[in-house]
Amino acid sequence: MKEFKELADYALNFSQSNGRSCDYAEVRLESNIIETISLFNGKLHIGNLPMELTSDAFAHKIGINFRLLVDGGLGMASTNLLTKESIEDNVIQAYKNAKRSSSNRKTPIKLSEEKSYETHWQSKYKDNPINISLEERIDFLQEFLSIFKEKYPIEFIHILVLISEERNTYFITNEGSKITSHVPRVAFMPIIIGVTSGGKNEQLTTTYATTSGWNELKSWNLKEKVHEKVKILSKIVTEAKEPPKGEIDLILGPDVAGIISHENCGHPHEADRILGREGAQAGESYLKEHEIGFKIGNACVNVFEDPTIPGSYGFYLYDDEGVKARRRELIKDGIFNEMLHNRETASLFDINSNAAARAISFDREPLIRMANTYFAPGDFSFEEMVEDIKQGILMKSFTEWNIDDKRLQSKYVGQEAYLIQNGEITKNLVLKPSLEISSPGLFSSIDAQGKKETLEWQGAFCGKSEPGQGCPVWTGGPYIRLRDVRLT
Amino acid sequence: MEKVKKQVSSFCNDWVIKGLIKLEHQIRFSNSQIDINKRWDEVKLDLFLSRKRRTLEITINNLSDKNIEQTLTHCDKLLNILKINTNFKKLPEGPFRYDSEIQKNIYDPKVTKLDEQAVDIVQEATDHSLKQGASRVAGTFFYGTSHFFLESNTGLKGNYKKSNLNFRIRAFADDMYSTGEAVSCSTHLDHGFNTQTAGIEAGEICTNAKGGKKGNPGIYNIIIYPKVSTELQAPTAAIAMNSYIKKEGVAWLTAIKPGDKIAHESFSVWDDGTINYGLESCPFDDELVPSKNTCLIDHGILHQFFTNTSYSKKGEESTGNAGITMPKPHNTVFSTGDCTLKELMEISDKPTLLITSTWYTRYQSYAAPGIFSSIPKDGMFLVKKKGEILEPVRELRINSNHFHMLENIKGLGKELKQVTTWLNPSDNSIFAPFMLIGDVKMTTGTK
Repeated sequence: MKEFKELADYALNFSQSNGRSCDYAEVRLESNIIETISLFNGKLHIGNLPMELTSDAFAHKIGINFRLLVDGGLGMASTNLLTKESIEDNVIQAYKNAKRSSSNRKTPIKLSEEKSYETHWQSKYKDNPINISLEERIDFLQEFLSIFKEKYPIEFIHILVLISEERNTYFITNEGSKITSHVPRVAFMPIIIGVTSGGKNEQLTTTYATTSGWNELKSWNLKEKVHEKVKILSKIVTEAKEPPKGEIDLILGPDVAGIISHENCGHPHEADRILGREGAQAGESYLKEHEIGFKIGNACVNVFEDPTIPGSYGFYLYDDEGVKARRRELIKDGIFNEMLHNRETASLFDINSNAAARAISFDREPLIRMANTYFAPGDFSFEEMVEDIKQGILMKSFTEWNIDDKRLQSKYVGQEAYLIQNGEITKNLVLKPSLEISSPGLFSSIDAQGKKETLEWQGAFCGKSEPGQGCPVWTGGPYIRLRDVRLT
Repeated sequence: MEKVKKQVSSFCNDWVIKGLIKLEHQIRFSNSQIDINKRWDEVKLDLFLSRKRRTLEITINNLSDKNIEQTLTHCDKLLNILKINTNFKKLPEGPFRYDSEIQKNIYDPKVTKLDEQAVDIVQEATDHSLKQGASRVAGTFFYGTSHFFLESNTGLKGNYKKSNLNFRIRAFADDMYSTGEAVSCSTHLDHGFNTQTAGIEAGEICTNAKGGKKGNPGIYNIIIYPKVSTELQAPTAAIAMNSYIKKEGVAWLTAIKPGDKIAHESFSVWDDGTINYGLESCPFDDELVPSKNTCLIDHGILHQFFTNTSYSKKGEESTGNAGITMPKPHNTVFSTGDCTLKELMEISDKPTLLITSTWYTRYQSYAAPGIFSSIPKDGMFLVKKKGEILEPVRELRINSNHFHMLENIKGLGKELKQVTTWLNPSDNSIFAPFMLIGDVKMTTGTK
């Protein structure tokens, strides 16, 4: 990185020279090291994965990105050819592109006014996963294989994936920002399919991820956790029975609460969706720009978003537009309280950005993204949630899920799910309870959120934009209770 | 390239160096105006390295001599600690003859000169969509060229150029439900690439979708637009029929073998790396084996899985689908039938839905039968009076599995269209007709 900073500085100056005049100029020099290793049924695989959107899965990349705002039009260029000639060519092209965009626009793009910073930020960690020997990382994965050597009534197909990354950035603007950052990340993703001889099957996919380094991941007793999940998966396939019909109460575990906070709340609160900019890609939102203050759910519902949580997978202190990060309160006391903004959307509301602009590598534009989205804890103990349920289901984890592109109609199919009867969690596993529900219907059905002690996080990669940007995030929550819902 | 070759030869028995020079552009637009105009200027090396069957693939994009040397030293050390990759056999030796016609049909030099016209192309398509009654449009226009250079330790060597054009437009009405989307893609400006038609189609679907009501859950026949097959049919051909996936048992065709009946007899599908103007066509694969047109399903019978050299069985040839450590698909091409869209509506014998696009297809499990649900995204219509009336409906979800989708094909359109979709699960392009599929379960939200 160091040797190319001068080139980045030169690029910023060049964007302002030879008669060029930018409303805004931004240069982001970025290096990404990504090392993905996997065990497919025990066999080592280094490289891209099938059935997942991965490319450059084992890659050492560096490049530079220019975003120029000229006469209200936005142009971007990126290159990994880090020579003066290439930089000049790309700046000239980005400028031309911005001009071309400008000629087509009726309303010029503006950016909110923000404080500029000269600073460095990074995640706190002990051991950078990238510096851990590949041998040790392979050993880490291989330790999980003993789980599958035990006797179970079903067979398992297993893919164990370990993604180690390091992201370094040098960000400068013509407004005076100069920010460097350094974040290592590590994620462990077991994908496990349990199949009976008769073909009944169930699939588990989960992600444990952190920016607090290798030792943090290793301290989570993951082998024990995965082992437990495998044993339960085996029981689900062999023992689970059809769910009850009619209206029931539903308690959702932290895994399910987390994905709901992300899909039904985080995405529709992204201002670029609300304003239509993702219309042809990740979609729009059922929420409208004038609806701040609109009642989305019951007063007990609070869903927040916070990039500054130490060690979180979505951790950052300044976003990729140089704006200082803070917690965002998306749904507060059941009310549509705040959107996620970058500088472009904030300007349209005449407010400040709340620092949601993120890019995943040098060749991507920063977009409005979530970081760590979660149901804020409430004041119910788990026992209090269960005690007055006559007929219900505890859905601890989920398998298939999806949601429409307006983030209105969602579906969550339970995986580890138990029948609740007369205030007691029974040992009876329920087979694939399927909840199809609208976002307002869902948030209006919640009447209890669990205490802080039950808050848990999961790692995930959030997809958006084109070309796609799989953005690292956490999703989380405590147990939450829904009243009077009907399964499909 | 020469320096890299010399260095990798010093510590590897087998290697392939793949160099890429790419210049690509994208215009993103929404609310009927351009949001951003982007350019990517990239040069990179993808290396496959093997020493005594210990294998590694790495991408290097910092091409300074110092970094390349450091990275290769790192790879040398990594190869020391890796175990034997029992799946890797060896690289093909050839010699091969490459079809020069393929090169002609995947590269259009006019694409390199599009810069000045690109904004006009977007504007024209926008205008056409708005004329159909849409209130606003959003979309993307990708265009660019790539030049690939490949060389392996077995003496095989080659290079080819590709161009790509990929246009998507989505039209919106004033209400939040009525939308229509269309795509146009090709390698050549003058062959199968028509952004105005896409603009009209998106606008028409959007306008026809106005006034839609929530649909009733139940069992329907569905007629799917070509684009829908990227989510509902192509995963079988492009993912589950990958010989790597088959071997590791990670998808729904694990227990199926060549000769087994898996689809309706009218249905065939090919993996075609040679088709004219196909976005995934190329003269040869990553092992420098010539691209082929491989029949995967022949009149409902599973014919073969696509493969590379390492995964081809004894006595079988590679189908020219390397990926060296993992095969990858070219273009997925479906068989056609003899029906127009109108005729598909006429022959459908049950309540029928016309589905123009889907998204967010997710699986309960990749194991057989590949149970999934998928959400119709844009205009969806209840077909009445054999298609004379199309009544817009919304908020229904497809619940099915891949075996059902293959076995219950009741009719195929007579024309193929090349399509891609946003975050396409198989990440390739497909050539598909309209399809009529019987007895698909549709559900809806309960609250």
